[in-house]
Amino acid sequence: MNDLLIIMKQELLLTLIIFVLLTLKIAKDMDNGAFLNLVNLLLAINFVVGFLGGMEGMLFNEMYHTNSLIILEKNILNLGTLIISLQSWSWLKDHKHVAEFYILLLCTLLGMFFMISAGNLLMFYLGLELSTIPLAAIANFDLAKRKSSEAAMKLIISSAFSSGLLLFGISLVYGSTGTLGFAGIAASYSADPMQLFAFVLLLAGFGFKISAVPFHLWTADVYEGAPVAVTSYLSVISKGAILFVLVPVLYTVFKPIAESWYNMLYLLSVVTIIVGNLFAIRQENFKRFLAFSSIAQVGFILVGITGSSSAGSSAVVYFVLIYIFSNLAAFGVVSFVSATTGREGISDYKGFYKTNPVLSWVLAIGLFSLAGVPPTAGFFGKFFLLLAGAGKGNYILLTIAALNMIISLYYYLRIVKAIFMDSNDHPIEKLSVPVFPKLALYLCMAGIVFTGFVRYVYDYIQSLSIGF
Amino acid sequence: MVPVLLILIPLITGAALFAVKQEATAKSIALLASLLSLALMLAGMSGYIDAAQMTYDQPWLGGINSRFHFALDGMSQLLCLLTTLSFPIIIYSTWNNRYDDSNRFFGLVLLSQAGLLGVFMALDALLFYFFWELALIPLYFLCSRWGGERRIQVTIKFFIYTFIGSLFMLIGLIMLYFKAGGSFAWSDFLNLKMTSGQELGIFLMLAIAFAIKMPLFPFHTWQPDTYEQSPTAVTMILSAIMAKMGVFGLLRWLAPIVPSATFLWGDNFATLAVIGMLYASFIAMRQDDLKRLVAYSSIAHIGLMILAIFAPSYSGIQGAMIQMFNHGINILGMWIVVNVIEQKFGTRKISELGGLAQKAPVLTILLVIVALANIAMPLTNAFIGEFMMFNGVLGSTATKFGLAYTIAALVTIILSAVYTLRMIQRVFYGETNELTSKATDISFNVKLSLAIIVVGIILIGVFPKPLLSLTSEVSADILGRMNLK
Repeated sequence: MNDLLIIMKQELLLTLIIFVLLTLKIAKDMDNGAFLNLVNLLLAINFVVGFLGGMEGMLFNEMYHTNSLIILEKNILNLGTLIISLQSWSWLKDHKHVAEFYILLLCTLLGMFFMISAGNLLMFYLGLELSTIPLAAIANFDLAKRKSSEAAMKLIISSAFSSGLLLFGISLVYGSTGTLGFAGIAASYSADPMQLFAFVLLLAGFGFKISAVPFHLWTADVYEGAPVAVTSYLSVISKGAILFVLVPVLYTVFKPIAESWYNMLYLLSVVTIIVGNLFAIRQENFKRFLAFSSIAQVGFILVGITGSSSAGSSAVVYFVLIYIFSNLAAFGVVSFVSATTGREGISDYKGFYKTNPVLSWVLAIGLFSLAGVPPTAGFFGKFFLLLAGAGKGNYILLTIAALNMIISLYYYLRIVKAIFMDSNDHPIEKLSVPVFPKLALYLCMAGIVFTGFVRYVYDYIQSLSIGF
Repeated sequence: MVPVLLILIPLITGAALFAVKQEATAKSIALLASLLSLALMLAGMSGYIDAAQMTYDQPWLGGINSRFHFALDGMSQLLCLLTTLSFPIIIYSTWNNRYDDSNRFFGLVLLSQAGLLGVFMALDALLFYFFWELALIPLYFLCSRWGGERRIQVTIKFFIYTFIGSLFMLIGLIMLYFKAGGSFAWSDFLNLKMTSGQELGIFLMLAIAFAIKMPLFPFHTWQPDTYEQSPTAVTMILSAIMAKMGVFGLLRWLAPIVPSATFLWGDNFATLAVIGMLYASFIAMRQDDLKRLVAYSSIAHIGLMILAIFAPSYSGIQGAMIQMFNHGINILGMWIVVNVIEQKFGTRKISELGGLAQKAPVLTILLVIVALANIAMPLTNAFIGEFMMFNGVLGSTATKFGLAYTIAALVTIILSAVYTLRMIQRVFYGETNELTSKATDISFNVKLSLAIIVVGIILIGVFPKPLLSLTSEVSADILGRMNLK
């Protein structure tokens, strides 16, 4: 029983928080300000407690397993959620349904935790659904906007479709191996046509969730329509969680067909980077722009995954951590501007530097980090991904990725130019940032500056992922 | 500890300057910091500091075997000396220039110095790459914030060119990393066993990056624009020091690491260098803008160094080494004069100036010496370097076309005399016009800066031995690796 408590402490704590919020909502009407303070405090506690007393182990007949790397991954997700929560303060403080928002949000996080810890395809599927369905509900949280409903609709339909693919794949896996446990599948998997087909279906399901090309079509519309908080959650946390699962699934469960998935991933990553980049160039809406840029980023992550070694695994975890900081720095500013002025076009940001120098720098550094310009952390993230991807000696892939870094640089710079250089008759007025969003932006800046250059972060992640 | 201090002094001061509000204070602090690093560098070279302190080696990113490894061998000392010497001169000679937010301006200048010093001392490929970028990024900001009218387009062009180069270099370094069995150490890159195809791949990746930086024809088109549009202090950094990053890269990270590809492809690059020299010289003759004239003359001079490296011999490599230093201080002198003229008259057009010698005799004398050094008159420093390079190219056993290269390169020396002297004649002699009739002679800071440079020019011109002996070991080592004498 004690083991159960310690091994599952992150899930249990999160469940507890969800129940506390639920009880509060039923019991008494708090005003939004106090409620948000409480929630952020709870999330901070949740993040800190995640680091205490980790323990490795398996539960429920190998349905659920955990180890130090998984604990770290959950902590990273906790951190991201905390930052997003701080950032959405200005949007939520006048919202009628704050409690519901957080309850749904934390439910999805709980689902992701179970998904990451899954040792069995069934558990994985349950976690995945728990993380998707509430997400569709909160995508609709700009209650007055039609676009928000449209986004929710698109998200639920595309999720349902991808879940269908996944389930079909899972059933074929079960049919051909007779088991759903990861260990059992790994032991009896081979490259016969049916099992390959099952794998392709599974990969397509994953592809939908991480919005790899050609499964990306829902991404831009959903990102644009959903409230910014949800968009950033979708692009950082939910993507990160799926990637955390994808890596061990590919590296351990489907190790017997490593040759085959290497080729698939190779193709997928090249197409994803190129298409994401080319579409990002043309975008005028900031959220759509970030959607396509995040598609391209996923392509880079796939390059790292093809490395198939402990270097690949640690590079992915490291990159997701840095990606959280960089993307949330950019999203944080966009989210704040959108909540206070309602402006989301890239051209609205012309002359932004004149009125809001500090926010401009935050946004610019976030974008530089996304582009992978040294000495920001984003460079180190990309560098380790490329290094892992080149581990197999595939320098063509490396070259394609590097060339695409140049293309991506172009469109990130385009925004930096708009912010700093262009003039605007109606620039966004001077904004004063409340304390919570400011704190979130500070966290992101500190992350961008320090996680790259300081060696301990990567060394720590690598020491945890030796296992593969 | 010396390398770390050399980097930390400008790095910390540069970052701290962002918080300093008073303009004069910021400038003084920047000057003091740059003088401090010069003093440290001189102390290190003169032997007051224990030789063991001249290297620094600590683990950095343990997971991929990357180390914080700096060392100051002869070539590094030469270039670090150039860097630490140039920065005080740059700051002091442009003392009277006005910048908005000058604290940030000088902060960025010092940050770029930290990056440059790191590039010249790094013996770990990842560290080298990191500092390479660190040196560039402040310059993007300097150019885009304080530059001329077309600064934005020009900065973006500059940025895209150099970033493309950097990424190629990164790919090359990653390839080397795997060839060296998972190590970024420079010493592990030497003597690798590679097929000629692999070696060629790595060679091209690195060579393109360095070619863009130097710049080598046909990768040079960013350079005249950037030199022209940057504030002159930044142009000084770009041409006096930054251009040497590329040459340094050839000598440290290319020729010794992939010697046989360098040998095989030497003629191609030497030919490009010669074409570039001729091309830049002819264009320089047609320039009316002082900055563009000096910019093109810089392409021609750097071209000669590239030629000497790709048609190698001991004398040629040594000549290129010493010429890196010489070209650095000579071109600095040219830029100081350009800056004075631009600040005084608000124009850089040669056609709008004239008769300055009557009004500013001191400036004229100093400039003439610098200009003579620029065209490699005997007794000046550049004569030593260029003579050695010609000698080296002519006697190189690595190429069959030594004679052809030498003749073509000699033509550019004549051309450089033509455009430099014609510029002097038109700007300084002849009749004064309305603009120049009210001119006064130069202020003390410019006099002192130019005087230091002129002393350096003549000193090295008559007594080059200390500088030559500094790099002799490195040059011999590079040639040894290419199986040449």
